[in-house]
Amino acid sequence: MKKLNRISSIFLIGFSILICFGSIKLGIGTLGNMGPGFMPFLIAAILFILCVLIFLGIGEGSEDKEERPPLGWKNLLIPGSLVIALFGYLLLLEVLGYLITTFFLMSHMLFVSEPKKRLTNIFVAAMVAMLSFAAFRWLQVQLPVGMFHIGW
Amino acid sequence: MDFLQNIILGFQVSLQPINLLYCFIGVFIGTLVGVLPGIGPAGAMAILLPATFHAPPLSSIIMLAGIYYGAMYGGSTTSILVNIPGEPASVVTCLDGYQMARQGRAGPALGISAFGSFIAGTIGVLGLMAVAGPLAHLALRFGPPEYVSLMVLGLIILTYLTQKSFIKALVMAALGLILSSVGLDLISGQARFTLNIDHLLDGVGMVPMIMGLFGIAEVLENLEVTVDRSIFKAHLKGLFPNLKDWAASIWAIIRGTVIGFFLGVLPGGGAILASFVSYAVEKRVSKHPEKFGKGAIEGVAGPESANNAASSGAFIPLMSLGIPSNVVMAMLFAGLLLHGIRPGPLLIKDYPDIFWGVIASMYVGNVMLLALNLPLIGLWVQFLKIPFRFLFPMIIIFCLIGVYSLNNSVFDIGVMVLFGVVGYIMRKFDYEPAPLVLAYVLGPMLEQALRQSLIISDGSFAIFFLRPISVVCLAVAAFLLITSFTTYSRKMRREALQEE
Repeated sequence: MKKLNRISSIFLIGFSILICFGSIKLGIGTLGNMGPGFMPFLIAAILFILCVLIFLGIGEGSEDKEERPPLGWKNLLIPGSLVIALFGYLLLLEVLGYLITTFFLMSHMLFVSEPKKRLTNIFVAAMVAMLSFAAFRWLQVQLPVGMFHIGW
Repeated sequence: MDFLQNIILGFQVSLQPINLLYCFIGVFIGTLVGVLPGIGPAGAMAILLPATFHAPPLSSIIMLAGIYYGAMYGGSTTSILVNIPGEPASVVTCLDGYQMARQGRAGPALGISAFGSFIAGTIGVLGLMAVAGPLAHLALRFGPPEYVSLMVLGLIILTYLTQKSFIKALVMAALGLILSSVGLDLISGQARFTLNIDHLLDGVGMVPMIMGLFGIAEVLENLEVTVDRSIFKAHLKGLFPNLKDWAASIWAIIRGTVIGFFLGVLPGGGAILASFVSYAVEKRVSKHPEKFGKGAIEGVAGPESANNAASSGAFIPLMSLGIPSNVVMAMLFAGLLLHGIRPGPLLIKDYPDIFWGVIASMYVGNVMLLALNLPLIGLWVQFLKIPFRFLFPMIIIFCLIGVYSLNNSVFDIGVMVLFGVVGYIMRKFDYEPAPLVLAYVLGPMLEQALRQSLIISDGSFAIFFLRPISVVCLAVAAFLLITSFTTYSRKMRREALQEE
């Protein structure tokens, strides 16, 4: 955990420095007349100090001392693939429309956990996409129909 | 007389069919969320927040509140039958609840948990009625310095009570405050940290951020591991505890209710802390502390009552001061803001139907929960059998549609996914998201109150130390900060000596 703490603290120290510089650019002002950068500067300075403490290992909980097994790729494969699929969904939603993109996303999510049941997965994905579209349209939620204008 | 009239008004509005329906949906979803390990009440409320956009404000808040106290009821079911807490406030229930189930007493364990929850929930609502009004009246005398000190105290208590590292919780609170400063400055109107993205002029969307940190991150984390849910297979019988069980539990229920209510009121406190404290108290006052952990019914009755009473108590700072005391209350705060209602001392005066309606609905919800949790216990056990591989795609789809429907914006989905990834990484590095969300919610109010205070005092921080309420809050916050650092340094010194 110590190693992970150091990595996270270095990242956050960098982040706090960036915010400090950004705040100075915005204008800190005076105590009687605080500028828009005053509060972010103050908080970023506190964040910087806290991250330095973490980096130095001060204030660790007892559980922080335990060395965790390294994160395996096998463990990260499914969550990682879902994140990629979600970013893909994000990019294609307005282009292809809700029905097509949701069908592909659902298929992906079902396939990663049960790759052998192909037909069932495709059927369930199609049903979920169509039923959720119908249900949310009924609730007057506007969903994108995409360039093929599939939906209403 | 006013009090009675207000209660009648509350029941008049909460008993309208539409509100009854929303209350039922809320407690049903709450129980479901409590039963299913993996997604907590905060995540469920975040997912459903956009769905309330088109509903009437009172109905929405009734539903969201129902999810919270419903989850407290449902959480005990998995703790007792599967030894997996449905939500963190039910962790302690596993200790004796599961042992009771193994001894063939799952029925009385579930029964006392439901009855204890009902009694505590009802008394908690009475306490809420008695305290919230006068406190709101008192809060009208609060000025900006008092609000600054109170919010600082709330943030410090929340980080102090965090289960993991205190410093990491403070880091999360600081990140939340920085995130809350994104967007247009309140006074000068200048854009801050918007990276020239127009969507960020209104700030980082609260709902996409919360849904990402709680909903998406939770799904990503659960996808890594396969939880073995071996459900207790014995036939459930005798859900009504016998006289001996009642005699052993009644004081535990009363003590749990009192502890839970007061810890719930505390800014930063909540159901998790209440259940742990109640268990510790029961063990200490018991004539047979050796029975705890081996199936003592008091070990189920006390914590289950405490977490329900805490969920009622937590409404007090939100409704009367406008300060959410925990992350779930922050979600309710967001729900009220979505409908243009600002919680605070003026809520009772400006929106009496909302205030008293929500409180009255909690009575109704408690009765619904008793009916849902006792006769339908078999149904909830069946829900436990739904594999996560079917649940998670549904959660993702709900999150996506929910966030998109807020502004019909793909940008919001991007924010949600981004915060989902950030939340997932944060969990890997042992950073808790709750202080971040609470700080994010309190951030704009804190900044505004701080600026106003310093304008009033012409830049002197002495203003915070000259007002009694403010100085008391700051003294308590300083005390907590000092004690947490001295505890750590003492622990480190002891460990260093042992290593030598």
